[in-house]
Amino acid sequence: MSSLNGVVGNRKIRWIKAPVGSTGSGEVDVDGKIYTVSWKRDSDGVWMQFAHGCFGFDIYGESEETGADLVFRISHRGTNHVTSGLRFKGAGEVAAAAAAPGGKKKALRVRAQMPGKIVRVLVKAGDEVVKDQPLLVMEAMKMENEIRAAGAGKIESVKVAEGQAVESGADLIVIGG
Amino acid sequence: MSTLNRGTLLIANRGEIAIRVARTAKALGFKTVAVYSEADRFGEHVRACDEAYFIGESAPKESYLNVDKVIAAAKASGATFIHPGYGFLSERPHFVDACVEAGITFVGPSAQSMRLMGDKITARKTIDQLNLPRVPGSAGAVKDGAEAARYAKEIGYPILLKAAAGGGGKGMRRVDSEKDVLSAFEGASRESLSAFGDGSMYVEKLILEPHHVEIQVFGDGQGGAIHLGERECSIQRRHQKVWEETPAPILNRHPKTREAMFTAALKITSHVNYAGAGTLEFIVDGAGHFYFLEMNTRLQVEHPVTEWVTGSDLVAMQLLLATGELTAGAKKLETPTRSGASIEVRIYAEDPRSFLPAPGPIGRIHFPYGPSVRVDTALTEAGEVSMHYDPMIAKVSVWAKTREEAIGRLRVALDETRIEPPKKWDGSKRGSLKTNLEFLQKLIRNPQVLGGNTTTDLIAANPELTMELSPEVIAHAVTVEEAIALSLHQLLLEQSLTAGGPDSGSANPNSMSPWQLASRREGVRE
Repeated sequence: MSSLNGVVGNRKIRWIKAPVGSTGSGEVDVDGKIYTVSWKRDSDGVWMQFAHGCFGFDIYGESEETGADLVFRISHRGTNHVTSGLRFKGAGEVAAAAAAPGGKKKALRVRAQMPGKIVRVLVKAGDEVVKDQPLLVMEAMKMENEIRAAGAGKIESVKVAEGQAVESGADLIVIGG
Repeated sequence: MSTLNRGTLLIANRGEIAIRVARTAKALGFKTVAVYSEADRFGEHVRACDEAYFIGESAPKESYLNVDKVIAAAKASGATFIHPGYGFLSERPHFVDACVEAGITFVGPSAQSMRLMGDKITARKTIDQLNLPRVPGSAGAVKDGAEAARYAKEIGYPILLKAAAGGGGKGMRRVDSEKDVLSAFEGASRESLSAFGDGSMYVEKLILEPHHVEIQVFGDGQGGAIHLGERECSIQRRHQKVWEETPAPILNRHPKTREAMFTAALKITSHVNYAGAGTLEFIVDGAGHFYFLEMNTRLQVEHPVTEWVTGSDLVAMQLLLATGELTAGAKKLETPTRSGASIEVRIYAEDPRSFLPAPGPIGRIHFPYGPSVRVDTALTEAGEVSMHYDPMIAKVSVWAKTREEAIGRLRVALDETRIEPPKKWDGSKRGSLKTNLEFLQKLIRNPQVLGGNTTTDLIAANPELTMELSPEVIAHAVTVEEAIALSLHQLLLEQSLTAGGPDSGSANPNSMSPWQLASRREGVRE
């Protein structure tokens, strides 16, 4: 991702020189306009000073997965305005996404979000499911919770049986693309 | 006066409530004793007390719900009083019996008044005897789905199926038509059996435009009782409260209902010779009719809002009633005056959209400060929300002269609060912690909440509170500063990892070699 060109949402970003250091300054082109910025990083995110004002953001990854799929939640320190699901995509990453064959989807893994017991399994391998369709009933924290499909697809495999105890993070069901 | 010795108090609980009880007990001159399970070895509540006793494995029934172990710890410590907090053993009459047998004073009502009011089915009979209104429904437990359907036909759909032993929404189902009764009964009964060891269910009419309003009472154990005002707790997710306030907005529109509810609450409290703090829960419909729901024979989670507007300390009242000081000689309970408005919200470790529990380790925690802001929590530094217990992280409450000002204070307090999981090398999180903070921040800006028309279906009626924005909408809304911040963040991270420059240590505490980084990128497991 070390490309200095890329996008965040619909904004086109081009860093004139690679930014260096936890405190530093530099120039960046956003949608054709040049901004001069000095910054200070801290453990929660970054402070930035522009000619038009000072901005602080907390930046946290939104999942436990590392790597290119990681998206961030960014919140403005003054107003606490929160934006979720963003990532700076370098030019290489953008091109790879554009070149990828359209229909190819990754398999969806339904994982246990917490330890618990499987009470009901509502689907079997080979079933077609739609988004939000209930897949399992799991008992955890003394509540019965329906686990629903995050997306549509065909059930590739069901990895648990009724009555089985599962650990947090265990694969429950794989939905094919 | 500051070195009073009022005896030794064992606190049979954990988390924020154990700490809250310990604070008052110490201030009054009690020696405090904590009990803790395997999972709470390093729990904050252990540090909050003068002494602590280990009582068993993490599962509640091996420790906090184990009467023998709690009583044994009390005897070993020489405790003469036991405060049960809320949850766990607080509403189990057999625990009260065990305390009495061991010669220890239980800080709370007698086992007899607990039996009269604690069980919902017995409580309804008491209410009927007193000729007070309750929600139409089955007089006793129904044995199966078919019997539930017969009652439902009589009182009309929609109905609610509720666990006789239940609470907090566990073992509860709404049923809209006859075809769903059997499956709903089966599910709710199974859930209740596993959660409470009792699968008996009863049927109740579902009230439309419902508000949940409860009256805080305090009895002297001899028929004398006072009330400390009401709380409205209509905003609930998964039938569990998430926002509690006083005065109740619905009763501001129906002030006569408020007075009638106080009278009814005191009648019940006196009738059962109730001792100590208790709460009578009612449903109030949009027209101001009220129906008795149940009595909680203990201190409530949301008691801070009552303390804010009355200036009283409910735990101190409980303890001084237990020592006999509150009603010594000619002393009588006095109804406190109430002033201003108070709101409490509960911060949970849960998904802010589905409200499923999401406990896990905490990397950063910061609570709000400021005038008339109170935080009740057992997590004051990076620690972990345990998966073994209720996933509540903290209660944040505020007081102000008016509801409007209280909302402003709470909004700022919530924006100040930060609770985040630990970060890994690239900013991704370690562990599954999520919090409902984002949800609460939206809630406090919601027009229906601001207007005070808080019915119990508020969350369902306002889908934007739990809606996920589409990637297109997010992409369109990104500001210049956000875009620069995020690209800067990612580029600096990358640069500090690969260059290994003088700066890499501070920017990247869990530094990885470029080889590890490459293998992660390729998706190779280490």
